[in-house]
Amino acid sequence: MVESSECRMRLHEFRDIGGGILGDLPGHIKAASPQLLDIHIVGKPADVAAFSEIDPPTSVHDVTTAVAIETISSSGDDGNEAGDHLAGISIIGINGSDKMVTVQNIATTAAWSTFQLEVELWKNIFHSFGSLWGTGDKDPAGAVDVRNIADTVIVELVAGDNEGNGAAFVVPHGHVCMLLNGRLKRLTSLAVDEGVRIRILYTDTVDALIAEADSALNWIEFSVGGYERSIDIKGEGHVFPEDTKIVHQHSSMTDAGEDYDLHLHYLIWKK
Amino acid sequence: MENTEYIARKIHQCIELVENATSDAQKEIYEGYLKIWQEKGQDIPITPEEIPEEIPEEILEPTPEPEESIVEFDTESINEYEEDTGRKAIWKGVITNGFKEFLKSKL
Repeated sequence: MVESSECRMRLHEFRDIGGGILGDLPGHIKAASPQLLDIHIVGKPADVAAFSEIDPPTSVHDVTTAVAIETISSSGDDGNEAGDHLAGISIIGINGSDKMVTVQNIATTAAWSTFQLEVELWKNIFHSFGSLWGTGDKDPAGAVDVRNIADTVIVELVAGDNEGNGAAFVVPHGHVCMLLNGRLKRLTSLAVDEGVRIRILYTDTVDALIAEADSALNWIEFSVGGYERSIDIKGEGHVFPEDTKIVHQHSSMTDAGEDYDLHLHYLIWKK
Repeated sequence: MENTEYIARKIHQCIELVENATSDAQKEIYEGYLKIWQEKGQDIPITPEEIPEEIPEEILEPTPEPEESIVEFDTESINEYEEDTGRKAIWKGVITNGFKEFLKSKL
């Protein structure tokens, strides 16, 4: 079957994190008011035992100095006019203050088919999602792109879909990230000889000194297969230092792609 | 939006970003974007009436070289350059930078 994946990414501020989720974490982490990056993926690896990136961004926006970006729709029916469809797109990324943020960009014209320069400056962009709509419909009428000034698309919403692509992220400079917990669940019928493998590839500043082909040698792997229905993922105190690039990959355990549901929680706090 | 108008707007936006950059590093990135759109603008004939008033005209066309530095050329080299690169050798009566480099490489 054809490989597919859809990632939903949300960034929750400390004040919005549900009570108890931080459990018995050390007090100094709680005192740092950590953010929670919530990644929920529904996917299916290709019918081969080989790893590939889950829901990658269209292109990587990774610059050392924060710069302006644009938004644009392929349809004039997205915009801020009565009867329009999408009227706002939110972006998750790292801003000029080295902070991971969610910023909503609201259409300023009736037809969003003219490119719109946005106010927030970005060093990195990981994901986008629709977050404001008109009375026309509650999803985009056209493809809505977040792109740099040279028209290189970074992440996008396809027409009719409020969730954009992008499941990878970078730990902001001056921050620390920890895999808190998660769950991997098989959605297809149980078969003893099949299953799903997931890898969290991480490249920190030390790994980055190695050639790119080699730096992917560092990963955390977990799998669910055989007669297992699901597994709980425990963080086990694995901490990713600042500037670490984290990419998620999936693979069939043998040679038949199965639908799976993957939920990961990362905590991010300022050092 | 017409291609020419689109590129003119892009150039206009880049100029504003360069002028309002808050650091040298940021300015450098915006200048890179500006260069991309200037180069794209060279491939299409932008007539004066299509250029928004606020865009300095020198941004949209290459700065003429001093007379003494312009090398000799003929129709054959113009044709050769335009066939090889798909770009214009002379645009709005001015030799393009790319064609100048091409001529220098022939010396």
